Amino acid sequence: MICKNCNMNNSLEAKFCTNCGQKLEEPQPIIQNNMNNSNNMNANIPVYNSASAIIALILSVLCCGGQLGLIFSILSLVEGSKVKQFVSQGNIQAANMSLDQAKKWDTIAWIVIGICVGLSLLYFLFSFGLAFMEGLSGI
Amino acid sequence: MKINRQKKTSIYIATGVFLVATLGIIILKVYNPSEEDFFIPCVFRTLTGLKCVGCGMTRAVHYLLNGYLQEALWYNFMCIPFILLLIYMDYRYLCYLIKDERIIDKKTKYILFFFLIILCIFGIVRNMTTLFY
Repeated sequence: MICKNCNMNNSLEAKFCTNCGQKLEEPQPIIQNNMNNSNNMNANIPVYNSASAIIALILSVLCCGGQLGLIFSILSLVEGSKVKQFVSQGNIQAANMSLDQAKKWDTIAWIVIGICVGLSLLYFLFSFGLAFMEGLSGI
Repeated sequence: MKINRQKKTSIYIATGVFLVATLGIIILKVYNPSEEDFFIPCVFRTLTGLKCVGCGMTRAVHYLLNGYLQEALWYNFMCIPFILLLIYMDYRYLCYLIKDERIIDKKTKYILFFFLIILCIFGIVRNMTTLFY
């Protein structure tokens, strides 16, 4: 154990420094605190997950009429790419703002796709029902 | 396997999607979208005159369900890769339910990104050549 006062290297069991008589403190809790702090720091760093935007992009490309969602999912990916850039620059506040904006664009993309799919299903149910009724009246 | 509230909600959603998909498959197996007019027209094609990536997908699935692979690939070449992707995503969902893994891990993200690039290439090729419908 190293003495804080005179830097003398003492044995691990020693409670007082053999050189200056200073009370020795165990360094372990300090290391633990440092680890907790670094974990908290990592938890505060914003990270953008592009998976949702990529799925929205695929669905909007495949869904006839859902192409409007394409714009918003691309906007989300573009804004999300800025997050990493800001983090590497150390600008956490700007990174958080970009992350929020990216999430907003992603949500809008999913809402647009949902509306398009919903309208398509309604159209299909209506026209299918109409054709079905016509078929029944024909019989 | 621990079932929390989030998993419970996802099971309800997955069951709903599965039921709608099953109904859609039955309708597509019986009715041919080329002959019936109650199927959804492509808004993108109506507005721009260009074929979107999803154009011909219902016809492709209809022919695939009735065993005509060549016709299915002609109408939409991406129907087979899309079905394979759906199967893989189902597997990932099961991994999430049973093993508590993330549905979209790093590998899945790369697969999705790769699929997206192929979709874009297909969209360009189908509008510039006569290789596909």
